[in-house]
Amino acid sequence: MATTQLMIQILVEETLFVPVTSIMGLSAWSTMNLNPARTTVIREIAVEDIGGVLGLSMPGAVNLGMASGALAFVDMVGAKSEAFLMAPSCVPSPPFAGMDRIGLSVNAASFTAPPGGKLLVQSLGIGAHTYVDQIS
Amino acid sequence: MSTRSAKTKSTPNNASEIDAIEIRLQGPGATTVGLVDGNGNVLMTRRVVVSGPSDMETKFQMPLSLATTKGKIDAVPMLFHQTSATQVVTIGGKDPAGAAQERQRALKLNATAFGKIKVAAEAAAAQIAETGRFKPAGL
Repeated sequence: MATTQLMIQILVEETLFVPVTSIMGLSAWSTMNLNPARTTVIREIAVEDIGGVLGLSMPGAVNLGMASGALAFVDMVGAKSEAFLMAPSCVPSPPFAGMDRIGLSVNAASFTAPPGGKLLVQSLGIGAHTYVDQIS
Repeated sequence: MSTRSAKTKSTPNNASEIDAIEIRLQGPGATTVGLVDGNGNVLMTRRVVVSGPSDMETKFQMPLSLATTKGKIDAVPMLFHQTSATQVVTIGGKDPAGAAQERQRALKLNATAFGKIKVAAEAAAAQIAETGRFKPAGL
């Protein structure tokens, strides 16, 4: 039984050099081709995040700290089926037949300060990876 | 040619109202894209590192403006640095230089602002190539 091992890894880092009142959420989506003649097993999906946002001068509140957080998922499509799996997962998935494309997405929330407030954020980062086995 | 030379400001927007552009990376590698205003100030950088097979493709969104405490600042997305010479980068479906020119035209930036943005991008690229990171002077 021959196995081809594949992977996708994504890291997105944002560094801001000016005080902001709003930041767009980080996100990225990577895709790669699969061999649909082989059975696909997702061996692992992991997600990490670093950094956070500190809200200053928030109306009615002392300074407010918020973790950025991150969400990652894998989606696969084939001619007759599709699959969706979320991170974290460190055990092999059930086998999927006929998949010809796989995507790994990683996303983090956006933040907006209320009027009068501002956000202190210097650096945010999110990352994810997935390991894929294709078995013939 | 317009005489408008610097940043455009209006009332602060929330994250959902900020314009963004899609950046595509074909192939693995580490890529740094920055947002530069018409005065040549680097407002932010976004570094995307992807690993995988050579046929992989990555997409992400880059804001075209920032909502700051002084108002919305419109800026130009610039490709600062790539570790892989084989990785193809497109910004809004165009090559990075073409996308930057189109954004500069949309913001009606003059030749002086164009020059400042180019100098800022080249300085950032040199710093990233040497140290792996970008840090504006004075920070």
